[in-house]
Amino acid sequence: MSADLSHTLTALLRSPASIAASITEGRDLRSIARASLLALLVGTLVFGGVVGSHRGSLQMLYAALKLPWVSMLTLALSVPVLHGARAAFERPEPFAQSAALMLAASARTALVLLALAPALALALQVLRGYHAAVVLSALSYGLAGLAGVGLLRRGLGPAEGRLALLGFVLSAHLLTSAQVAWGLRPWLVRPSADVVLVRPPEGTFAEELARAGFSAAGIYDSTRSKAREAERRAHGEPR
Amino acid sequence: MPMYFGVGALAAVVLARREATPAARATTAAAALLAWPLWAPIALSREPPARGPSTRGPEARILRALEEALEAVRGTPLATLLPQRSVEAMRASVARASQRVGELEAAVALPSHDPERARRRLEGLEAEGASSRTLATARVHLDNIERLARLLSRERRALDELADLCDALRSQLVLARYAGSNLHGIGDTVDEVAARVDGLDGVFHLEETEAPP
Amino acid sequence: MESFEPCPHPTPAPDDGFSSRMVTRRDIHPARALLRILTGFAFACAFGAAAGAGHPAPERLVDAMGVAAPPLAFGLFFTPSLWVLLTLFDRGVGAFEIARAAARGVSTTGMVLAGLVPLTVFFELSAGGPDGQRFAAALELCAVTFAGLLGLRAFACDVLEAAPAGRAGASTTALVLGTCGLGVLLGAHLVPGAILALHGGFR
Repeated sequence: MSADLSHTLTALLRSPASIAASITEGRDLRSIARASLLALLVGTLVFGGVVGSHRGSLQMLYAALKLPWVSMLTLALSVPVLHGARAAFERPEPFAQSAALMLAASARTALVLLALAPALALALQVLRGYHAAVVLSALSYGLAGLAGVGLLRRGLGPAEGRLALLGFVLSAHLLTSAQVAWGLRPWLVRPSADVVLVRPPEGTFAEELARAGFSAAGIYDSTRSKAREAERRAHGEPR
Repeated sequence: MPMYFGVGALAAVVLARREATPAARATTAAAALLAWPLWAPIALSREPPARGPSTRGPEARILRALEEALEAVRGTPLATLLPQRSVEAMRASVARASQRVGELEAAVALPSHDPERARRRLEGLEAEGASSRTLATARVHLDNIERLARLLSRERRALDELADLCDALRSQLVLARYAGSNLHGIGDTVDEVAARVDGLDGVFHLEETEAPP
Repeated sequence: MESFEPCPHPTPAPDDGFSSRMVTRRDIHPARALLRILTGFAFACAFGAAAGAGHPAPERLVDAMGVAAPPLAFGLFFTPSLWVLLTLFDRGVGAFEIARAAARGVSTTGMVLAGLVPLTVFFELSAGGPDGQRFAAALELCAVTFAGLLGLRAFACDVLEAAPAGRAGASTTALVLGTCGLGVLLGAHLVPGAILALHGGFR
């Protein structure tokens, strides 16, 4: 079993085309899924720990335990999307193959995250700033994600409309992953905030993105509240 | 969270019972408990029968005959006549040809590739006095469909003939092993098999050269 | 660079599972076509119910059906009208061929929406506050639009493919696209209101 595992892990990294071909033919799904699950758990666990190391102490453990769940839950929600969309693009495949493909693509991402983890850990120790940590972590995730996209693209085959299908599935996957991660925050933890396992539910990541965008432009919550107030007055609306 | 792990525990029990060895049971149970939405459909899926040689049809006959022929010459001076490498190459060619047959069968089975339907459409257009350009398009469509059918029948025939030849080779080798036989004659049969296998990849090209412009 | 084909070439289905039976092009029995329409409608209803998961109430079931109504209405009312028009202009597309195309259109939309059900429930339950609900509703509107357009594409391609050579001219294309345009208008009329109602008017 260990030889099989090592062979599949090597193939995941070195020859994504052969993994994609196996999945398309429905061959070795279990061994691919088994190796992918292991890679996913280890890769995200280590990367989560590294992200949490920015704050240190208990946050390392919390982030290491939560990141695998983000991947797992995101996959569980995006596999049906891939399955339904494939059918709509006239490339119906069994559900198991859609699950194996998404799992393998995420595992490849996780393995690259594992490779990037030491460099990120060092960078987080050298550059202590919160914003630098956010940018570096996001860049690492984006870079690793590209490796997974490559496998997913191959797994969708040479069918017509592949780019539209890939775009749709990736959009759904990114939105879901962002919302799941948002639901399980904090990850890096601002210096002023307390370390907790999960913060109470609050809005969506999209609101946070908008807020961060406004903040970057120098428009803060209080400024926006005043602007909204002025707008209401201009329209004669009650407060 | 408790519901997730509750379903996971149930899936772990059900799926682990399907495994044969304790190690496989443990891995399956762990995978099902942690990631049942992903693992359960994979664990419940069936490996496609196409993984190994199919058990029916000319492809299966050829592969079985080659395997038995290889077994018959193993450890004897006859082994030089049928090296393992050549048999591997033959297997790959036969698998490619068999896959082509499958694809052609699927293409020929499409409703839009029904020759009767295409013929009726052409007749209808002729009866209506459609323009020559329209008629030419319909004729090209019908012609393409008929060529597809011819190609399929040629591929099937080539595989059937090769299967017969492989059966003959096997019996010749088994006979040679136990009763001694003319090595020259066996060499000729092996060459013939190799040539036919090479020819499998050329069926498409043959069709192209024979096709009207 | 991959070229974009409005109508993909029919490919032999590699899988004969449920999704394959739902959406692949083949000559199916009219009863199977009806089953495809009903299954597509049921899937779209499930999506509607998922969109209302944030504000569960029995009366929201009607609103959930509002999300699923456009594909069903298109399959049951708009396609017969297209058949009448095509036959009136002697375009040679049979009623069964149009029914089959409609069934594939509705089931295509239904399959995409069915795949989005778990994700929609998750967004509905995790997006707190009116702004979060607005965001979830916007995503649902995008999803329904995408699924609807894919269904219309499947329908239009099947009808145009069924038109006899030489008669699939500009007028046939115009009639088919016109019917699809009406489908888009119907969706634009019904779906946003249904999604708004499913979210309790964002209150």
